[in-house]
Amino acid sequence: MTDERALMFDVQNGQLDKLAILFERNHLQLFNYFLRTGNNRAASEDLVQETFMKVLAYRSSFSGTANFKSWLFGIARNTKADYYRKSKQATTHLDIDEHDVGSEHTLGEEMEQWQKQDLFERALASINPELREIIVLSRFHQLNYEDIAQMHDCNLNTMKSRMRKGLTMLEQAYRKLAGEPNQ
Amino acid sequence: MTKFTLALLLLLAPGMSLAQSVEKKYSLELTDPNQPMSLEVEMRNGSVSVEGYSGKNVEITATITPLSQKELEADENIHRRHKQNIKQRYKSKDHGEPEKKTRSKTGLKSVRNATMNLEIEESDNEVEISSEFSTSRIDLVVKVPSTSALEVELYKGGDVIVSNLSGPIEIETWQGDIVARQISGPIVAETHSRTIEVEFASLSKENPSSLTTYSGDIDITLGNKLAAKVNVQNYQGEILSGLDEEFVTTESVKRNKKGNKQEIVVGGQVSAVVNGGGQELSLITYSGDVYVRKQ
Amino acid sequence: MKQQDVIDWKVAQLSGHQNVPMSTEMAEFIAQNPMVEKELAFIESFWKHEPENLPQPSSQMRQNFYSMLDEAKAQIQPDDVKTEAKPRLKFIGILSGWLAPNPVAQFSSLAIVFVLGMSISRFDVDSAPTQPGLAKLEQEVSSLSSLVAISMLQKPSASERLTGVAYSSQTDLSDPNLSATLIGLLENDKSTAVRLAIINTMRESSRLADKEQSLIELAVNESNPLVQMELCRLLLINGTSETQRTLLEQLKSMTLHDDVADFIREIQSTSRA
Repeated sequence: MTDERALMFDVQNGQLDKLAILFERNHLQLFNYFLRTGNNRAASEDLVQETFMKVLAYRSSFSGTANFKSWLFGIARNTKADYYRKSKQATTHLDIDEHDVGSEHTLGEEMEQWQKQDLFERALASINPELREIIVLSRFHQLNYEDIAQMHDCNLNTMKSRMRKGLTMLEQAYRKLAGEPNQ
Repeated sequence: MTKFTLALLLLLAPGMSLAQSVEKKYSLELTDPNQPMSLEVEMRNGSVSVEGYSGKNVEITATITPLSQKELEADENIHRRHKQNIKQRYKSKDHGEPEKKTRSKTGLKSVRNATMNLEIEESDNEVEISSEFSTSRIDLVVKVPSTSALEVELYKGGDVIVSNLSGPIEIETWQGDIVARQISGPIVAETHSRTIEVEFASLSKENPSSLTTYSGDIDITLGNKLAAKVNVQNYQGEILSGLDEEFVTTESVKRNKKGNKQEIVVGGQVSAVVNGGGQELSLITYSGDVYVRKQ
Repeated sequence: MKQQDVIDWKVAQLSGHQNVPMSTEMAEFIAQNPMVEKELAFIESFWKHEPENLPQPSSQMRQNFYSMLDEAKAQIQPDDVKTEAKPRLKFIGILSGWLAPNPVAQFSSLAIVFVLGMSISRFDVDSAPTQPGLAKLEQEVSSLSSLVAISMLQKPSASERLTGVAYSSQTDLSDPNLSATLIGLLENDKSTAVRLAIINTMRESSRLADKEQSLIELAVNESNPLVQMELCRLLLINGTSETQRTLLEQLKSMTLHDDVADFIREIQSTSRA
């Protein structure tokens, strides 16, 4: 399997077709990342598209010091943040009752069918979005603490303790949903 | 802040050629020993050897040897040429230097030739060792914490030897070899007519590194896992590579404005992408050979 | 041994980032703390649980991507691609390095532009991202690169200035401040490596014309043979025929370093061939 870093260097050097390989390998992961971090399907698809557009526009800023995946998710995270800012601005012009985006993008009522069926996903959807994101990146996208810490612009120890806090919240939420007694 | 000034008045009888060497030792404590430090050396004559170690102080040994009359004259010539070069560099119309008045020197003798100064100064973890105008050569051996940053400038030259440093390094010498071992850069080093030899333990990803010599050889050894893009620009010499990766021409074909291709053979640049590529490491020499080795 | 260490160890094991057997110390700690054991069991079950029926994106998403890629390919001509000169730098790393030690004025001007750039780049939710979106982003990267480049070019360390030069090559050098900073360094930088890198950047630029006169002056007055050679090569290959004629005339009346004279002869004979 060709190294994704090498592929990205090829893209950087003008072989734009190689981006297609990177898209095929990563779009599903990205799509799931956006879903799990509180976006509906349509928004998640838009966000995947926007992320790859940024990969192209910022291609020369890929240095290869970080691996491709953590660079990609860094861009994805920023794309998501931009999107939230934008939709927040949009909702201020709407009737609050009619369309409540939710200040923290917890899923609440908007939770999708597939998430409702899975206790772990339900528990995950219910916790603080910042902590949820850290867990998602670690559990579902195999990023290590260093990468996640860099992405969130905090030091490693802070990241570790946030991760722990997140896992504790997740466990509590899970037990509650499963009807187990809280400890 | 700590400051040592060593001013020796050397009364040299004219024609006296055999001069005694003097050795001086200093130990400097840093303002904050837990923070990284930087060392800056600026000298005219002499050599510098800097070694990174696990200690927290800066240990300096300076050996001072007065120059012979012959050396002094040769040095004076180089100094004059250096000044001319600088003058010429700034000669464009905006930077015109006012003409210096010719003054009478009758009955006066040059005092510069009879004194030397060595200054060592520490302020906020920045250590400066300087000796610009001197009639002696100073051979410095300095031990610094291995994370230190280093900057050495030798106007006339003399060898610069560096080992076991993980901070950024900048070296400029005119007529001396540059040898660096167990470093990770970034390093920017330049000599005019002598060899540059560098063993990289790793290569800093922060900023590019570059080694330049006009007529000397460049000999580098790259650590096993080191990732870099090695660029070589040489004009007359050979490139000898022990890398698994190929060097490919990057600049021999250039387009001019009309879109015609033109091949310029001399001074072309070749590059090799080592271990997937990383920060740039440029090696530039006009008439020397370039050796690229793998550990 | 702390609870945190045990959990870090567990997550790294489960994610495949390490394969280190549990230490005796850790095993003892867990044995003494049944709560930790329970926590670890939960983490493990969460990690090993494979969610079912994950939704799939629509085929429209793939179509959108490929049409964006086609547009990008049409927009970015292979001839324009600076294959070797593209610096591979970490944008954020450079920025944070930049922000710390510089004068306040510079900081605020960059911060403003950075924020502006970010808000420009914010994509439009209503419209499908198309070519103009990409063009806008490219432009944003270029103007941001100019600012970062200027600041890096003013650093005391030669290596950082080399980064600045690399950044400059991300732009088309149309920014007049950037251009003036580069010419100033080309004239006066004490590092030959920095000066040669600037010449290489100019070689890649399509905007040489307005600088040719000042470059001729530099080439004629230069005392460093390597820099003089490269300046001459730049002008003799990329300059207009008027520039080439003027330069050669001026060089003729000078006493050149032997190597420089040879070099210029060689360039002339190759370009004639």
